[in-house]
Amino acid sequence: MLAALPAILKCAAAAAITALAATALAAPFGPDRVMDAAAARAMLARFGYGATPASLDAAMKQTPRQYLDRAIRDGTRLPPPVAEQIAALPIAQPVEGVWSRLGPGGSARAARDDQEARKALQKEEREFASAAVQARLLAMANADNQGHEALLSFWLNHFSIFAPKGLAKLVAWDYVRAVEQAMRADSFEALLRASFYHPAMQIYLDNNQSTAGNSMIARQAAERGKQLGINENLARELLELHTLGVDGGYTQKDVQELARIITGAGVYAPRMEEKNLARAGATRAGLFLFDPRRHDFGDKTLLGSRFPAGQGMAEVDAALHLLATHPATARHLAFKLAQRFLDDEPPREIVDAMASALRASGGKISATLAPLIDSPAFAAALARPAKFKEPVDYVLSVARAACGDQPVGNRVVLAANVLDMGQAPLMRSTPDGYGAREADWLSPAAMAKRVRLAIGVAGERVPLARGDDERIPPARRMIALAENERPALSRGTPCKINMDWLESVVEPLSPATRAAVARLPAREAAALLASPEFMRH
Amino acid sequence: MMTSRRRFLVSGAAAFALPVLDAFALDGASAAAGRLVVVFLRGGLDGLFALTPVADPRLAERRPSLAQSVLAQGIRLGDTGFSAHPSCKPFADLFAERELSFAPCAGTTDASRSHFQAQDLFELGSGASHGNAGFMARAAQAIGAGRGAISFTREVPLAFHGGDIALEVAPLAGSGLKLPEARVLDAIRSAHRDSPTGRALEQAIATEAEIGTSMAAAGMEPQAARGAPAATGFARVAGGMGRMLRGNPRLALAFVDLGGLDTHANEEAALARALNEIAQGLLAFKESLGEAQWRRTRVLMMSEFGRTVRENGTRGTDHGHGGLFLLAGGGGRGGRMIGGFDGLADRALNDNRDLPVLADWRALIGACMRDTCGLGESALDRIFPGRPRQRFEV
Repeated sequence: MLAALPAILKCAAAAAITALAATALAAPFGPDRVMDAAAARAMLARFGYGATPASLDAAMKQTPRQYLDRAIRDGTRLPPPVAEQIAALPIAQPVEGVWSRLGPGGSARAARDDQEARKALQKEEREFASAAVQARLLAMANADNQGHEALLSFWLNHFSIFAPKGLAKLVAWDYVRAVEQAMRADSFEALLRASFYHPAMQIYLDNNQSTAGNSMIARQAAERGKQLGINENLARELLELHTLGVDGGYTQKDVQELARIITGAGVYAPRMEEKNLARAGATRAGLFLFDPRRHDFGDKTLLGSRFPAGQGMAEVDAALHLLATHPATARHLAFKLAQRFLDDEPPREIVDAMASALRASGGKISATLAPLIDSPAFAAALARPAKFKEPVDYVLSVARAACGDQPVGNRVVLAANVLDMGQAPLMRSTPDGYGAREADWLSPAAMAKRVRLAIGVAGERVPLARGDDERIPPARRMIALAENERPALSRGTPCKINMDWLESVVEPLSPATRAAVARLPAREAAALLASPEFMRH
Repeated sequence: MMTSRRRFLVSGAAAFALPVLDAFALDGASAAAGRLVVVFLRGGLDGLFALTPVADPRLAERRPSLAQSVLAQGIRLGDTGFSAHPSCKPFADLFAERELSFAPCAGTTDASRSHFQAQDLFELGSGASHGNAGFMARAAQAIGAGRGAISFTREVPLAFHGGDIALEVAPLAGSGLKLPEARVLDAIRSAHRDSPTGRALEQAIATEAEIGTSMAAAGMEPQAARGAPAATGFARVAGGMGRMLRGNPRLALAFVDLGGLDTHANEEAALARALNEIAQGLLAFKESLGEAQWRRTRVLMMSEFGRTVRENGTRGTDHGHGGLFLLAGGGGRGGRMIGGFDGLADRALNDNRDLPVLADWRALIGACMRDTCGLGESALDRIFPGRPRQRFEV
């Protein structure tokens, strides 16, 4: 119990401990109680990447429920230098312009026979992917609305894409923004639709190429001796990962039927002629394109529901609605949210309550999280943080603890570290997203890397505030940089560590950590950042 | 000694120059004491693309674009009716030298066609797709003290979860272990004592020390790599694996995984590149391990499932069932097809779309464990509860 009461640790007298313990017990964590410093720090670490002085002040004016409502509905503000940095990256250009220049058949692709020009184009494309990863990390590390970033990361991981795949590179950052906008609607179906109707997802899971064998385009291709057909990739992952879950009761036949339903969904290409698209009755929404010439207009049955022939785009919408509101989807989402934000093995009754709340509210995320924050298990989890931080949580919390209110401006260092630890945002190559359990991340190498990072940051040798070289190395080069510890990564401005602040962030310390700190005079920060307490949240 | 310890991991070379030793001789172990290396190919390898039944008359119709290059330039695998894709030439060479066998219809009992469920099922080895204990952890227990298991992965794979004994994890990609100086490290260790994080940290320290001595025992010189073109990707990892195992006779079981095989669209170029990298990796492993140990080593490569027999509409393949299993190693016992192949006719297919599973993964891995580690039937029953009574000559 002592470890759960942060304020007491500096008190030596037993009497004082008893008195404080009594106060703390009289004022426990409550979902509708304005948070004290300890609760706010814990909340910022669980639904966020850790406290900074300013974010702590703001959280201490809120209840946990208000904190999460703001997390879902409000946007995020970044310190001006960080916002300016993102605004200067290629991803800040309007996506339509980028696509019309670099998309398939875009204006910049005219000189494709020129070897040099092609290389330059490929380099430019790669920069879009790296910049998206780096911009995402800057936002996570510096946002005032930390809950917003943590929940957005959850949904981006649920609807995971691999940014470097094909031309998804160019639209990966727009995908982040589309998912973020949908999150603010507080509706799972909005999130599902935002993800499905985005070119990044269509490209990542190959649906833009899927073509019904009996469609007009397939028949025309067949006349030229070219066979086109269906690809099941997106349909399967929609069922298995995005909605019902692998145990959700669908069959291989459902996968195939869904794959037929979503034929025609794909991506607009600048080489397509507007005139032809209009004549074909294609529907455009941003860069998403529904092309009836690739669609299977036959009748289908998905999860026992009949989809009569001839519906076209309308049945895609109907199928997404069916998936979003399926009972198995509610269970799957409730489990994943509880596993990420409560415990690796969340109690059954909490998951059930969350699933019921999700269904009863028509898919509201705020309502789904209510049984979680109302549960005694959540109060206990915040009082005694035991969940092993995922690599991204650890790297960003180290940066925020070390920098306090100084902006964490070195996006390359952040990206190199999370890549090396295996969890860069938008870089999971498989569509299942990153795992959330201790068993997914705790390993000898993970510990070695964490200890190394903690010692480097503590010694003010890691330039978290600003790097000298602000060019955007592609992902592969970032890994190489991290592997070889090239000087390029270590040049720049570190954050000045405020020891009082750092200690308050890590508190309460176990006696073993306190002893370790005492053994390292002048290097206490290393012992704090590498402590067992700070590896959990 | 910090810098030299770093060198082991960064360049895969040691700072000490000792004579090359035959580690098995050093160990004094009997000739039966071999080693099994499991290479898990995640993502669902299209085995029919790698090694293709070119003699089957239905092939060209099943795979109009994907069978073209193997039909034109494939390398025949004896009289099996199969040919290797040009990107898999090293496999064909090893087959001709009787150092590689293959089972075209191997796999798990998974029916979900989910990557993640099928991979879990594979790694658990218990026949269930949920659980906490993997087959490598149980096998490490069965082979007993004095011999060990190592995973060359970044994280602890599910196959290694749940054992009572310490298993090693030595990542050969990424920045490796590279621990700090003793005083700081000792203070941090003490804070983590007796906790899961502490156990992982202790393992990192032990493995780092072991890598150091094994590299030294294998006689690696830091200059050895100078001037040589740096192997990329898997070839680099596999070369490092070979060096580490060569110097470390204790390690009887090894595991490594590889991704990037989920080829739903435009498979030809991507998979040819990936397969060539895997094949080059096998050669790099063989070379760094040395002839004496290669003879007593079995490398088993397989994937969570195979892919559809028919190519899909986007010049790729979707998730299937039975898949390719490759078994390599010295000693001249290869050059065979294992477990049979029933052809590509509709009636021979699983659900009229995939290859069937004619060779159960537990039976195949178990046969390799019997052969290399001398494990008996009852030990294999503990490692793979409920395994079928299939016997394979490996």
